Amino acid sequence: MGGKAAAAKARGVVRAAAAANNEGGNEDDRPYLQVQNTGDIGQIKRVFDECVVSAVLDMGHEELHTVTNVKIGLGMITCALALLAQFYPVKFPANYNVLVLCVASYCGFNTLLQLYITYVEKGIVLFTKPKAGGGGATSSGLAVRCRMGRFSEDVTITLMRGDAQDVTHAAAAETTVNVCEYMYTDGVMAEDKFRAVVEDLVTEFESGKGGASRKTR
Amino acid sequence: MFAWVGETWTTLRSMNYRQLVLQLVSLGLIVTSALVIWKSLMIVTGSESPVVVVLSGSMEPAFHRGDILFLLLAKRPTMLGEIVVFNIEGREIPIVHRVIRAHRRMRDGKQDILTKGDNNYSDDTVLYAAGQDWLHEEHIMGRASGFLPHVGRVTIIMNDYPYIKYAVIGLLGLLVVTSRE
Repeated sequence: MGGKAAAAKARGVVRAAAAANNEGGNEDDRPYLQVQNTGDIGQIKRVFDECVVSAVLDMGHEELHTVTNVKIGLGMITCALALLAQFYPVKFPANYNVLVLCVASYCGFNTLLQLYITYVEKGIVLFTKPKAGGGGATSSGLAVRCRMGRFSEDVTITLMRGDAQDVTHAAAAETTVNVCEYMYTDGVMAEDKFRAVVEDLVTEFESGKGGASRKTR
Repeated sequence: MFAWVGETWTTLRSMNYRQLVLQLVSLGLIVTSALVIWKSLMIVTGSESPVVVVLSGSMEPAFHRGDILFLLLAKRPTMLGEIVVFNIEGREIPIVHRVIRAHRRMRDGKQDILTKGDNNYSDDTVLYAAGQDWLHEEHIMGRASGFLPHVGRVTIIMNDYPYIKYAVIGLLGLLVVTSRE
């Protein structure tokens, strides 16, 4: 475990050095992932989320849009109810019953949406479709969660099966890294170094050797 | 300031189509939640306009221009001395004045009401529609039950200078769309 971690870290450092020599973007010619204000934890988490998502997708997984679509659908229904209450052709107080119905169902759908976000999405930044040809751990697609404590410098990336999102499940992989090691002082992210971490995690997950192994670098 | 604008633009550009739709839906949810709060106030108070701003000085020294009034419309007869907000056919802005005469017909319980602004010389007969001498229940949209002084001046300014209103709304919308949860 220690040897593998050290080797991966060395590889990540070499890639970061190569990227630093490459003006204007990283190896794959994308624009820099950069944070404008390095004191803003929200921005940092967002940038790390983006990097994790793009790293996993680049490894051949396809994004599953179900959760986003459900959120959009619920949100649109809620807005439509409010617009119906506003633009109903009958004036107050004759439209009292319709109004009460619209307001009550607006509150209901809004609550439903919040419950969905809290209990189904649960901080997961990416769902993927099952990978063709991948047996075992990837037969149900991935769920990738990025957690960052409120005033903490550590981000925890968890890879789980899409259908059994339990980190103690046998086929789950998790790692915790300190964000300071993957970001330059001007806010530019050391993408390639971080991608190496994510790719290692995905490989570990796919090989089914997961378990609640926590590597802290 | 300009760094913030640049940062906002970069954030917007980096979002893909689905994320953008999700952000617009979030913005819509915030706007519609304000709307629904207003509608539920309408249901609770029974008045079609539960909060109004006093626009003229005809009720001084009780209310001044720029004060906010909270209205209720309970299903009971209007009493003498109450301050009512009423609509007149042909006038788009409702008027806030005091009831100085309130007659109730024995036959069907309907009311004839005459109003006058405290600071006006004459009663409101000149303000009513041509041929109308009295107000009836259907004209009244609420009875004053509370007030906040001076807070309504912001509304008056935003109505007199609409571009301030659009600028504030546009700025808020931009802030919501560019902050990702």
